[in-house]
Amino acid sequence: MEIRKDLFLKAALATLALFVISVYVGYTVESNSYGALESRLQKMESDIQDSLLFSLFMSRHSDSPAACSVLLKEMDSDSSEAYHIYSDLEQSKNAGILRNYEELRKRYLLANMRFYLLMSDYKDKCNDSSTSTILFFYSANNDCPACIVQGNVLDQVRQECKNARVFAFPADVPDVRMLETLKTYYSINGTPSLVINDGSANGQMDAAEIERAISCQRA
Amino acid sequence: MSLKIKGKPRPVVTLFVVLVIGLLIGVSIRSAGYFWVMLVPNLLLLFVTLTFFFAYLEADRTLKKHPDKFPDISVLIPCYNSKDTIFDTIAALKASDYPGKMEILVVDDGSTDGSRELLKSVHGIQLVLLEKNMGKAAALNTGIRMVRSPVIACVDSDTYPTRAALKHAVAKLLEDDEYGAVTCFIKVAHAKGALMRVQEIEYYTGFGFAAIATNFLDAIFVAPGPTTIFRRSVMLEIGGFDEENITEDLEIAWRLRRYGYRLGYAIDAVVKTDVPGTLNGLFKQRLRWYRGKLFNLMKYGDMIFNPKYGNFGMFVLPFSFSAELAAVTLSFSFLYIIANQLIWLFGYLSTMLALHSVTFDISGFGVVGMPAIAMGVILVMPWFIVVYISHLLAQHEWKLSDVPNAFLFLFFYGTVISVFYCISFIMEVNRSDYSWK
Repeated sequence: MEIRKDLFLKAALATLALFVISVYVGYTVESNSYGALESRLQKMESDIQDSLLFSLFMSRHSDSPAACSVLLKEMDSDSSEAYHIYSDLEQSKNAGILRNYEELRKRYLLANMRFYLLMSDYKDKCNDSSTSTILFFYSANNDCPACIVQGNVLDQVRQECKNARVFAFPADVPDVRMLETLKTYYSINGTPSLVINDGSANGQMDAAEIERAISCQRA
Repeated sequence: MSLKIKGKPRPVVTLFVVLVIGLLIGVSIRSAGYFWVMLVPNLLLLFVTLTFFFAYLEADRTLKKHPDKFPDISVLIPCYNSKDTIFDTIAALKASDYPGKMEILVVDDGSTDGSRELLKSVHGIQLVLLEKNMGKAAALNTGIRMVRSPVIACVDSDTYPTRAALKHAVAKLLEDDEYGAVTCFIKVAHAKGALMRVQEIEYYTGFGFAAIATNFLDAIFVAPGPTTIFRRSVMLEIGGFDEENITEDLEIAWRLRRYGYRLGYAIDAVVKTDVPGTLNGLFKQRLRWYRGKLFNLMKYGDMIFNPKYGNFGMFVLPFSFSAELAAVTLSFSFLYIIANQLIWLFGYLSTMLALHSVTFDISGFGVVGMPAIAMGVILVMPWFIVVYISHLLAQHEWKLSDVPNAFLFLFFYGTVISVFYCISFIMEVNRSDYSWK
């Protein structure tokens, strides 16, 4: 029998068509969750920007305790959302196959850094020594199972201690000068790493150790 | 029985080959991601399936001419320790409505289970008793030399041809003088339990749907051991079955092609055969099949991409070989992913213990997300259709209880079979001795 090139061509085209359709559907499905995450990140960025402007305004016109309390309240609502975005972003990155999550991670990192600097500024300006900052350096979930456990522990601490403010920094995002500066400054060599109240870096810590270090004020 | 393989085992070479393949797949997964690495072999398998699908759509399954007279037929049953099944095989053959003269020759290949004595008392058969176990190919060759009918049916001792099977198969054989052999639609007998049900679906797709497609392409790949009809003159011309080959049914099909003969397929010639009921039994069977296939691919390597052999040489043979490679890639990938995830889980649990954490959230453990599932569902669609068509061909009425088995077949059975392929590949590279019962 003759070699059926036409049949093979038909099958190759059908395979290609199915592949293209599957990529389109996969991309659409992924874009939905990617888009939702992106809008949450956008809101977080604009909230932080808002707090930042409020802080600048306060520096020029008012540093009254009332203004400090308003700023802290603003930042508290930002803090909770920022922490939730961290785990959702990593989960989406794990499940994603067609979208590049590095850009989102970078935006998240930059927004969180801005937030951390704002919080440090607030602490100085408002003489707030009770609020504790915890910097949590982590890397992608699928490379660092310990980071997920540490994240869960920090979530528990956040809920138990009203004075805890956690800032999660993806330590494996490339080409961010500020991240490299922070890693060098705090001597971050691996993940997970924690920096409590601008002290020296620690590796993984359990909830009791962290709560002792921040003099936990029970919620 | 066991066959000695030429050359000594070579564990160092095998280890090297395994490490190189593992490294290549590991590097690919690290750089491109597991999803894309596993997608490539799946696309290849999809292409083969779609080629078969289009061939199936074009295939004409009606018999071109009905014979006026049927030739004499000799049914050869090689038998080795088959006392539990051979009497049903003989009974099924005796119930055949074959219009011509039919003789049944049982060649007992040195059975030790008492079947020899029992067979002596069966009427209507000829019995040949071999002194020692020589292997199935040798038993069949003994029978071929002894009988005189122009047509031979080789039937396994655990196979039960339906009443009209021989009539339909011989009618097909007479359709074209170029046919050296005709294969049948083999179904699973006594299917019970998930493993046998899944094999039942495999047989529907392989010996029903795929056989129609390969027959249309004139590229039938194997002369299945359970039942195949041969012209005796052709068998004598090509020297009978290869007694040094562990898959003599595959080898004979390829040798027939080398000698310029065609193989036909008769969908109405339905035979049922017993299949392994345990995973261990299936493993042993497949080890023999796949090692035999790899061995014969080496032996008949010159036929690959050789236009002289038509669609068989240009498509079925090379893509079958690619399917082996795809299976090896897939199973290595699975092993890599499993090892990776176990290391991940170990890291997770040990950190949980170290940090006295009670929150068990393994969201990072999953390797399959919604986008991959969505893509996978679309790419697996043609296989769903093939499974459905195969059930129709087998006149198997769909029941709700068939759905889980179809899912098992589509999503898990392939993985198990890939691992079997992989082990066969490693054993063949190592030149391990062929040994089976």
